[in-house]
Amino acid sequence: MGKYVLKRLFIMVIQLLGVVVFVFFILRLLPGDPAIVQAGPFASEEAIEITRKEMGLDKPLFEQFIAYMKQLTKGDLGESYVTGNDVADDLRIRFSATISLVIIATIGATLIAIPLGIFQALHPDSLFDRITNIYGLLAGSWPDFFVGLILIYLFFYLLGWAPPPDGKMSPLIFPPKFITGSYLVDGLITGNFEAARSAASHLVLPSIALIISYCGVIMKMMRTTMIHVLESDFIRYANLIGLPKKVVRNYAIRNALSPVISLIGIRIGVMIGGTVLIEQVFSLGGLGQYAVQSASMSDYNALTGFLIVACIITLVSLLAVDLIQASVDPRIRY
Amino acid sequence: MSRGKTDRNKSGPLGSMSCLKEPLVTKILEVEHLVKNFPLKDGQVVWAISDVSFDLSEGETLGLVGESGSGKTTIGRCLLRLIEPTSGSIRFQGTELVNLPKKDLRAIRPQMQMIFQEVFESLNPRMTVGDIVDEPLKLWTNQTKGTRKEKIKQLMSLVELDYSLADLYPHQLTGGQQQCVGIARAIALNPKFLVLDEPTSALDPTSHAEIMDVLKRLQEEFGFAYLFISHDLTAVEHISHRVAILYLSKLIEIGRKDEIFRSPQHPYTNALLSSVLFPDPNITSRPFILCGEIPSAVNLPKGCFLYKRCPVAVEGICDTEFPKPRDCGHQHKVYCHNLDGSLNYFQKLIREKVCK
Amino acid sequence: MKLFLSMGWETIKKSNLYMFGFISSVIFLILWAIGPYLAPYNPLYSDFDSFNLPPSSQHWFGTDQVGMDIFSRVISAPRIDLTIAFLANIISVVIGSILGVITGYYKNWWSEALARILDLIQVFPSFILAMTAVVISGQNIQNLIIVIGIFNVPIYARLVRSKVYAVRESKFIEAAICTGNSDRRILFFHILPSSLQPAYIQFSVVLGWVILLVSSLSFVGVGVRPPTAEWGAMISTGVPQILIGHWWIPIFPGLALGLCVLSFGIMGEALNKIMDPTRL
Ligand SMILES: Nc1ncnc2c1ncn2[C@@H]1O[C@H](COP(=O)(O)OP(=O)(O)OP(=O)(O)O)[C@@H](O)[C@H]1O
Ligand code: SF4
Ligand SMILES: [Mg+2]
Repeated sequence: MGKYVLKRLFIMVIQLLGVVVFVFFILRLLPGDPAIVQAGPFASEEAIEITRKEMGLDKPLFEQFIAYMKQLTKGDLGESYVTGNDVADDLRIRFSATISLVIIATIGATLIAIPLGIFQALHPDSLFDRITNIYGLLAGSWPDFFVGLILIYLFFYLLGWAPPPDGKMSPLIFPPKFITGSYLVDGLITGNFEAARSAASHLVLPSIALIISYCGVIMKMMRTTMIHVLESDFIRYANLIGLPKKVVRNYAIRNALSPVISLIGIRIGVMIGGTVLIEQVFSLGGLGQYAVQSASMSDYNALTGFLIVACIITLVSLLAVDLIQASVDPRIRY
Repeated sequence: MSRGKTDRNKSGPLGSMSCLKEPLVTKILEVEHLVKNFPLKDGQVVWAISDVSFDLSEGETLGLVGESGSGKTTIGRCLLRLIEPTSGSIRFQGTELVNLPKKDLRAIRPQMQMIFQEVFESLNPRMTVGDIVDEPLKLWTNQTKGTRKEKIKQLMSLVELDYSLADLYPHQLTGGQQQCVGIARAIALNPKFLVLDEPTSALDPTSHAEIMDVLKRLQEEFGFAYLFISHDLTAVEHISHRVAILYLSKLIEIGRKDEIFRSPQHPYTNALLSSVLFPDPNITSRPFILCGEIPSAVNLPKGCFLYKRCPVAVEGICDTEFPKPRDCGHQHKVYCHNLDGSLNYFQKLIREKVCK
Repeated sequence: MKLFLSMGWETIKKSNLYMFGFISSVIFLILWAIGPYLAPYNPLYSDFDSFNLPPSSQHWFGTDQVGMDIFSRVISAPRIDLTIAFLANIISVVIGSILGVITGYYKNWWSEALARILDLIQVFPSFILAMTAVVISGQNIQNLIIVIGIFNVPIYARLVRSKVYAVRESKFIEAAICTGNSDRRILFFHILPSSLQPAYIQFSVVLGWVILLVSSLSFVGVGVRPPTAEWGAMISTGVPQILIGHWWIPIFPGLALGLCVLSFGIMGEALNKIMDPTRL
């Protein structure tokens, strides 16, 4: 196992390099001029020219690449011209809000979807199967931000159960000291339970929206894989030689789990993208909202910095998924 | 019942010419020391063919018999260079095929064809029957569409397919019809030599017999040479002039059909024959079954591959060295160290059985 | 082709779900063609005498905060959404198929590397990539199409590649070599047609995803800008409105968007069923 982890880490480092190179070239090769974007909409010709020099865009591509890599290794993502802060600092402050949402949504969706899918596969064509199938069909079609909006209308406007979508926690409460950046965790650590409660209640709707959106795909995948496994020769064999039903079922689940987990890995990018949109709806003040704001203000450094961080988050999640899969799947050799 | 008789009549003249007229028969294919192994990811290799030699004359059928996984298909694919042999020599009408440049190989292709074990998979699902049979003609002749159409009709009637099937797709045909399409395609360019890789194993018994008849008739009419691959001994007995027995990538016995079936020498051949009931009363069934498992083709044992399962194995010889071919006359070759022991052992078994 | 159409129709007729998807897809395609002409009001005309009106017989879906008729805007939106999605998807399908065939057919280091890169891109948050790229290349419809088109290339490349892998190992390719086909003819005549099928079967499904992506981008203000009638942008203007109970402003465009994606998804599944060789 240890050797496998090392190998996987090594691959991730290579992937990371790939990402950095990819981001650099895609940004430079796209039509459009970063200098014009960075200089802002009202900049004069000379101002754009100066910005171009400042950004080193007048140098040859290779030299730019070297400079960019040097900067990156120092953890320097440049300065945001909107907030005036270091982009790296801006991102660090907002990081945990986003991550906690991603983790809650991923784990929540997985934990709900997998049992549902297994149950469906064990009782195909039952009423439950048909209802959940319709749900699966619908869930993939509506964007998560729309689901979020409907939840807001129902639970905030009509029923009044949920707090308004006005941030990480109620603006009337004094925020806890900054430790991790997540008000929920910080509130619990510092004993500011009021803040923690408020932060938790502000996370409920966005989490549910994400879970509703992503459960469907995972459930569908679990159902098809499980049915496939149940029809496979070795399960037939296990039934034939008279193994207890429960043993066979667990056997099948174990074998069906692995492809589903790798699907979750592939979908994680989509989930992170969805989080950006959900943050926007609920003004959660995480990376996503920052990115959207930078996008609307054409904040070049902030946007590329965010892109790199988002890619890194994806890679790390992918690594986590792979490791989980390796520990679940009996067939993977270390 | 009468089949056995006609069979003997047919193989008779060929058998009798073996000593005197042999130089007159043109060898179409000579295979020497053919080896093919597949490297696995973990550095080990699968030995699919190890050191196999045989030859084939014009118009002759060589039956190639062996259990599943013994390397029969691999031999066929190597002969046509559909895969690259690891080493050895394959001479086809005097031309060395191994290492033949791609361009020259392509020029030879029309003369040697293959009928595939996986009948349906060997037909492009997006082409109609007519297009499939037409393809070789289109590629290799300059005939107009009209002439080619006539030729297609002719080919299809040769394999007993109705021309009305020409516009159908392979999946709309029965297994037997699919195989006929495969045969029509293979003989379209009038090849010299055909590899028939278990042409009937995927078919039901009726189409089985039909295909065998078609193949036999075609050979009589056009003088094709066949390498007939099968693990169905009755079919082999029905169609072959000579028979080669394969065990775990090695050739262990080869000879004229009557020699192999009436006086098998190798213990493995004896075991194979004992498992089948022949309609021909002259072939005595042998009450003998091999025990034990076939060794893995990945880690081949040293010495004779049958050593662990052989009832007449000689310790110290059989487990150290693979036997050299022993000539028993009439082109009958056997790869065994202890031929006398084997002979005695099986004669005794048969006598015991007859006495009982 | 006739056979295929009739068989397709048979399949669709047999299932209520496919029938629903088919009819609703056709409706969206009609709206794409002539939606703006069917609209009772000018979708861009804001009537300051009647803003924030709830649904009524006058304004079926109500009016928004600047007095535009939501029904007219909802049925005009396919014009822009579907056009962008179609063009972007065509870019992806063409480039993706070419790359898929290349990476599937050639077994050397650069095709291997290309395949890895494509896989890697597919793992990344496409929404975030697209958002960044659109902002940097300049926000206009043309760039939106190009960027979305490029970032969806891996979906098709991957589908085609794995199919090429399977097809090139199949027995009928071996038979084709035996018949004496040239390498070129084997690639273009035997491998290519069979390998492209999964790409165009998936076209409809991906079209749905692309529509989602376009409206998500517009929702954050990076794609199509208001007041153009576009579902994502319309939902976005409705976000503050829903807090004060004006639910119809974002809900109707959202429902239309989801319905459209759903229909194309169902059509994709139906196509899958129709093209499934095991059913033939
Ligand atoms: N492409 C390949 N890669 C690795 N091993 C292979 C490959 N092709 C064949 N083999 C191995 O070579 C051996 C011989 O296979 P082959 O297909 O020639 O057997 P066969 O005698 O035709 O069997 P069957 O009667 O089942 O058709 C088998 O052990 C098989 O697993
Ligand atoms: S060589 Fe030895 S082990 Fe092999 S078959 Fe002959 S007697 Fe048996
Ligand atoms: Mg075989």
